[in-house]
Amino acid sequence: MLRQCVDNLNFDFIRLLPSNKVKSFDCGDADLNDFILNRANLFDKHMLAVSYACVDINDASKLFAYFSLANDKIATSDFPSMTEFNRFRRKQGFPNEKRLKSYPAVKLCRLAVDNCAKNQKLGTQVLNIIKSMFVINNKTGCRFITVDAYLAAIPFYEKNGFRMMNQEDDDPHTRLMYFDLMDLAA
Amino acid sequence: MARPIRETPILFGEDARRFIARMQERHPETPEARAQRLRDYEFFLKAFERGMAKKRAREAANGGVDPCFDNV
Repeated sequence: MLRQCVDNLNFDFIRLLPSNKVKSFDCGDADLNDFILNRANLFDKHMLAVSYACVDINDASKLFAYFSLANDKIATSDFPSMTEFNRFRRKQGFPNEKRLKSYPAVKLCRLAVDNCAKNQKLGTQVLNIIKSMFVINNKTGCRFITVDAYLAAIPFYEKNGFRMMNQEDDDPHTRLMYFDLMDLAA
Repeated sequence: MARPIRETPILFGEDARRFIARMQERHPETPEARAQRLRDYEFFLKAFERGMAKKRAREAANGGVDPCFDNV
């Protein structure tokens, strides 16, 4: 049943704690459901990712959406391929900075919207929030947002300015994408 | 069980060249998109402060446990 209460006046945001196990959530995808119901608190407990939830203003046990974030980096190499890179590493030890450059990023580990809150542009709103979190008053340098996007979600991310990271990515479930936060710098 | 989150790979060859070239380009958001993004963020700041205040109040009233969640 579509709840009509999903608008800007009717939800709060909270940061989930490692001790908080979500009681119910259904976005229609078993993997995304399983993550927030059974895994998110463990990721937080081990300091691997933190999760934020968009909850009903009158009942915080009702989740409209959640997203999980972790630190990441995008590294580029002068080498033409992984094979060449590994050959160099074996011969020369760890490559020097001229050969490998990395840029700080935040990984959007998971983003899901409950079935009751779909078609309300809540996903786009959450992406706008995440982008702003790392541009406005950010505590560390962060140039990119990375995401491992479900194939079905690629149009959503493209519409929100994300680009493909690899030209040849044959994973059957997801594609790695990124967003350059520099595009938002004033 | 939830699928593992894929690690971001090192970019090589054409992927690296394309990525570096893209970094030099600027694709600024439109004024409308920027205004909407900032509105969304302003709303988030208020909704987050409000949500966390309520959460702390629930925990204080229930011996440190938030009854909205299964506490583990």
